[in-house]
Amino acid sequence: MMVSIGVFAVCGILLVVSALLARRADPDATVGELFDRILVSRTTTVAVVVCWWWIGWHFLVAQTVDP
Amino acid sequence: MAAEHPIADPEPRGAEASVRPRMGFASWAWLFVVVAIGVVQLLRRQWGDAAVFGAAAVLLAVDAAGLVRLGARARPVGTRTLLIAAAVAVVPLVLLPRHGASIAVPMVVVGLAAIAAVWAGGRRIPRPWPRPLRTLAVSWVVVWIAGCLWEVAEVLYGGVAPGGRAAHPALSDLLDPALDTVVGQTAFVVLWLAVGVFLVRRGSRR
Repeated sequence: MMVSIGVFAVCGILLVVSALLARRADPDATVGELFDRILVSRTTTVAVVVCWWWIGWHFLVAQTVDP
Repeated sequence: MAAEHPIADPEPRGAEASVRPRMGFASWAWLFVVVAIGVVQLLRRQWGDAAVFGAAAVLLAVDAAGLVRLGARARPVGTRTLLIAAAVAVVPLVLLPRHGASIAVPMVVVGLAAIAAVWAGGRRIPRPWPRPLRTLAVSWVVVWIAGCLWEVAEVLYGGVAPGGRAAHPALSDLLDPALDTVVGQTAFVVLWLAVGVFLVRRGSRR
């Protein structure tokens, strides 16, 4: 169990650290700018929004924990 | 130019009316992500979730192929409207009990509204990728893929290994107890809607 917690914690920390390092290298290299470029087409935008929505559905409505 | 980078997508939004959309690498990659998540839902035997991702994949493929022309004249949603909508959505999503039939209604409404809002955004002209931004993109892709692979591994291995999911918890197993509290559900809903406002606001710009 602790291994799994550690892996997810490290992933979260790496996301934050890489965002901070990018911003230090270039003040314009922000997460917002990153998403501005990713969400450039309808396909990518709708796909990202569907993934976001499903996370909410998964934790609030659907079966969050498999039996 | 953006097309020089692997995650860039050469689909100009302004050209939608006259040019048949062309699938760039980013579009293919995200279409693959949607299909892959759908497959994982099949492995979890969550047929409804799998149907959502299957329907999304079909819709995106049909749109990318230029077979439908929905919402081309729709107007992007303003930030103020988005914030008001999110503030209204917080109430039922916080007050209604998790996993009940009643909370499914506002969730479906939020989802359809969000997709309608970004659908109106159409396609934009790609912008250049400075080196620090490219590094950030690659870093995030690597970390997200690693995290997702670990999640899938825990879901699958936890189903057969000694000790089960208690010994090999997925992120859902770890967060579920916290979300069963009022504070946890409220914090999750607020954070989730904030991310949604961020994505829809960025994604619906022309």
